[in-house]
Amino acid sequence: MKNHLIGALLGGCVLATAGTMAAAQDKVVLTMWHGHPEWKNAVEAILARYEEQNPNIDIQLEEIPGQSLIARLNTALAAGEAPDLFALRLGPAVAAAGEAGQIIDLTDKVDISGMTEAAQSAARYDGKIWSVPIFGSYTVGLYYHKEIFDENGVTPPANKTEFMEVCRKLQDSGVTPMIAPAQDGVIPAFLYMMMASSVLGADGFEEVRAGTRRLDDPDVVEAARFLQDIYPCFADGSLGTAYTEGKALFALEQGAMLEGGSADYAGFLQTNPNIDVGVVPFPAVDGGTPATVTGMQDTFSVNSESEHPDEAIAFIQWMIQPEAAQMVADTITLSNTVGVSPSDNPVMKEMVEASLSNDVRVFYEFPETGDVFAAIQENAASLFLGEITPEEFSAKLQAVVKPSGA
Amino acid sequence: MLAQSRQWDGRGGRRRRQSALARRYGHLLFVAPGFVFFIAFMVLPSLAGFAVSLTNWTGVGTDFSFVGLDNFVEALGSWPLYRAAWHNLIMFLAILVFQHTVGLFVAVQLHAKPRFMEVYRTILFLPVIISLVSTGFIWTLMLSPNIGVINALLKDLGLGFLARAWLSDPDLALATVIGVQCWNVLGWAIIIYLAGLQAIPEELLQAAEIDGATGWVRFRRVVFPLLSPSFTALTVLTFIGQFRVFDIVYVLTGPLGSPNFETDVLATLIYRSAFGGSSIASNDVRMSYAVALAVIVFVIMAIASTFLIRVLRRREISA
Amino acid sequence: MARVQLSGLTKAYSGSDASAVSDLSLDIADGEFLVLVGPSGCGKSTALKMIAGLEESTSGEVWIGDEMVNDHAARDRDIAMVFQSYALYPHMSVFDNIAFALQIAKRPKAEIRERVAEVARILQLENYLDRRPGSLSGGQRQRVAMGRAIIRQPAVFLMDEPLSNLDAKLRVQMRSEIARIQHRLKVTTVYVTHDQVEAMTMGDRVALMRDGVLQQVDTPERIYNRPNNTFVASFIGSPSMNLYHATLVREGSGGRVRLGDVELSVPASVYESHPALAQTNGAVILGIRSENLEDAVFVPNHPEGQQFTATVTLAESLGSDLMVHFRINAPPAKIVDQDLLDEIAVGDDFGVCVGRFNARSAAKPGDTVNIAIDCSELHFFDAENGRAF
Repeated sequence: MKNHLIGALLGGCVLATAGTMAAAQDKVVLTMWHGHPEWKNAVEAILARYEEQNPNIDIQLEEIPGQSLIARLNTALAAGEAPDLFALRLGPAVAAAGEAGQIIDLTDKVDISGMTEAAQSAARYDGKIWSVPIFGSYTVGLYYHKEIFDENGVTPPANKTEFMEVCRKLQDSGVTPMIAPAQDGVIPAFLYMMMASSVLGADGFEEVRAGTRRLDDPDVVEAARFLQDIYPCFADGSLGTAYTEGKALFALEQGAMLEGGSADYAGFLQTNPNIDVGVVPFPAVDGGTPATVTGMQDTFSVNSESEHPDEAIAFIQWMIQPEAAQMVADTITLSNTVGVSPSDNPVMKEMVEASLSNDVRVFYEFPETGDVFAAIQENAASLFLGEITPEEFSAKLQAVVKPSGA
Repeated sequence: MLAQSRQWDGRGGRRRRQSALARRYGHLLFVAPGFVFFIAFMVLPSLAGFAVSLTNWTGVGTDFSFVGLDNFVEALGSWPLYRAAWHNLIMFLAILVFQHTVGLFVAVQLHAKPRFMEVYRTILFLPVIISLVSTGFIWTLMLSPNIGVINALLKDLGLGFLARAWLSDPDLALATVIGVQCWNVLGWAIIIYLAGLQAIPEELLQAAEIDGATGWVRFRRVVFPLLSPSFTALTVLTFIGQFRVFDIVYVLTGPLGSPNFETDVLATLIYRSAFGGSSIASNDVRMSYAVALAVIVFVIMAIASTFLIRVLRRREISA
Repeated sequence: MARVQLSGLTKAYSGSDASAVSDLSLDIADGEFLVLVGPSGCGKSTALKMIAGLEESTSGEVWIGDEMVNDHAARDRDIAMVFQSYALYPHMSVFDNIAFALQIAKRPKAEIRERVAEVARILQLENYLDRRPGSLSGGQRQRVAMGRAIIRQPAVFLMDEPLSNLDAKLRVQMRSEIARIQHRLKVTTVYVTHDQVEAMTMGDRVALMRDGVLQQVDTPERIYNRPNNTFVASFIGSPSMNLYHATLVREGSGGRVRLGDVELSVPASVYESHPALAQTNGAVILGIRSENLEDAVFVPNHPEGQQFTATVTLAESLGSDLMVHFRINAPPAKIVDQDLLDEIAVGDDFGVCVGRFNARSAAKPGDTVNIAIDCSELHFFDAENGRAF
């Protein structure tokens, strides 16, 4: 009996070794989970380019829609079955995984000096690099249909007064001024961030993080009031409209304006190839400066249990070199790599333009203001419905700010 | 014992003698495979879940600091839990009434075997087979105030004044979600009641007929009491189903139970607490808190279902 | 209380050539206990349901009392029915089961209580009024079903195999009880059963049906002693009448019948009571009841021509009698009926014959015995159509 057992074990070992050797002679397989099925073609083209240049690497991509990805990734991480490459949410989630040893510390392994300042700052968390935003960044502004604006004799608004005027004119001629799919609260959150940024600016936002300025300061409350006041400009049923449906409605010219990001444009084109839109910073609270907000796309980490960490790290490094960055900029969204801009895309160029005057980082990427995003999601609907005042709304947001100075 | 085993041997002829142990506990072997799966996939995860609910685990990382019952205390003191439970309760009651009235009525009509009964039955049962996610998706499209066919149809019929923003009007959203669910569960009610009706012996109805009971009286005094097993089954199933409803709500009104949480239910609340309200950013995600919510719901549901079954069984007849 | 008349009652189902009941006519006197008997599928239950109004008739008329009730609903026919399954309402107490019809008719509560008490007393159910049917024994349930019928004081009782779900002993007991109650209440009763013993013991008259057609209506004695045809002959009586193909030859005032290799003399008295026999010469079906066969040992002076020998294949003692099976070298007359299992052909040319011998007979399997046959009790049927002469 015992002899049989040992024999079986030995046989197993031999087989296993043989298997490993065969794999080594074969390709190195890297698994990668990504949460944007809508970019599938673009991402696969980039991966194909990489595999062409590195014939010994085979990257197996699995596209999982956003929300399910998070649920699956959490489970897989806990079970030690996560892929080699994956993106956690930037901020506390990445740091927690890093401290738990679930992802590799990339600080000395990846050179990010060629990336924009914002990207570098986003990649660093307490001085360490846990993840790298390899699929660029997105800047959010206000999209508008040029034709609808021309037909109705209006021009892109720069502040609240102008916005309300445009809204009124469009409504008078039977046009829905704004598509705002508010079902999951994401759009209202971006609207608020841009409105607040028009008052705060990048410096003011730093002060909020430091605790020397507050979201319920009277001048910042005006941003909340702006948010409440534009609700009547939204399309019918906005509170129940899903994000994806809203984007499709805008692409199909069911409304004149949409808050949107650089990553949305490719989707519009897919829905409506003849779309003719322009993009500007979001109108400012009266007296403020029109603002855009910028956030990092998926920031990828390397699984610390990966069998091929070096290959995975090499891939990340390649992704932020100009060649791959250019592909990202041309087919997905704005690049994080310095000097790379969309080669032939006037709308993306307009977006870059828009972000030059007053661009603020999205609040949720910072530990101090990380919870503000969720607080907006939770409370925007009551603000729209008039159940709470802009003052109360702002106070709820401020309540979840954890100033770093404190 | 000895005498017994001799008897066995005698009856079975030249059979091997069973040990007392095998005879007493042998049957457990037949239960074991299912039981092992039950332990592995139900009991252990539940216990693990309960353990997690006593920590501050966020869902990522390995920080499992023990926080005692803090999560439970916080959950029981939080307004969203009661709001969500209230919505579950309304859904349960509304759908219960719907099933026991419309569902029963349709089942009785079908039981009378009208022409094309098979066709009707198939059509009515179809929604049950279609996945809730597709159901929900189709309904979001139909109910959309922008592109939906329902408002368009109402306008074409000259009933434009009835057109509404079904899923985004805070006063209508919950009712709309209930409506969609009614459409979805009607098939269940019909099948269960139809089975109950078919189980009533023809002679019993003839006896009632001869006793002078017809129509409504016969239904109320004879048929309906005999349907009490169906009533129990449907009520309990609906109770459990409605207090754990998730997919259809999620698809129809999103993870936040829009608009303004008017359709937020326990499952979406738990989901949101565990995985966040959107894929973009949710730093307030706390798996352990979500699990605590789930444990609370589980315990209350278990108690309530047991109580419900007790009460309803008492109504039933033992024949 | 009423007379029940059926005339030309027919039930045909679409998609089937044969009628479930065809052209059934019966006249049941007021207070009479009529038993409708026949093998399963003979249409007796369908006939009962047509009387009850639970089945619509295809043609024909049902009269209860002076009224043609074809167009009356069951509840308007003033009948009460006892079902084979009892059809008790399982969710109601015994009291409510019995009282149900009165409650529906909105009789005063006091009256209902009084009448239920009376019925419960007759049926010895006083101690069970609060129970649910589920907790009663079969016999008790049967009594509740009776109670439900009795309390209505209807013009007609209709009973559909009410005893077939009881065990043998209880069945015998309930049989007499039902007969007693019917006798006491004097309510016209139509009682359906497939059990010929019930039919013989309970009915004032017995109506025997086969394949939807009425075969004979008569008192139990006449239907036993003067069966209309081979079917009636074989159905009524236990064991069944022994029936064989035989040849009858006229001889003087009497005759001779050849049964295989046995020849028996037929006394003149048989010809006198069956005048139609006189015209017959040749093939007949001969019927012999088992009690007309006896071990010759016990019939010392039996005439020579009324004896034969046979080999015993089986002997069953009933205590009071000894049922002896023996082979007869004559082809049995087959009555096509799956219910009658005792009619088994041994071969084309051999039949089993059963005789009811004196209990003291020593006959045992393998013996060759001398058998005395009472030839004055022989039954003769037309070999072509099975009708009695």
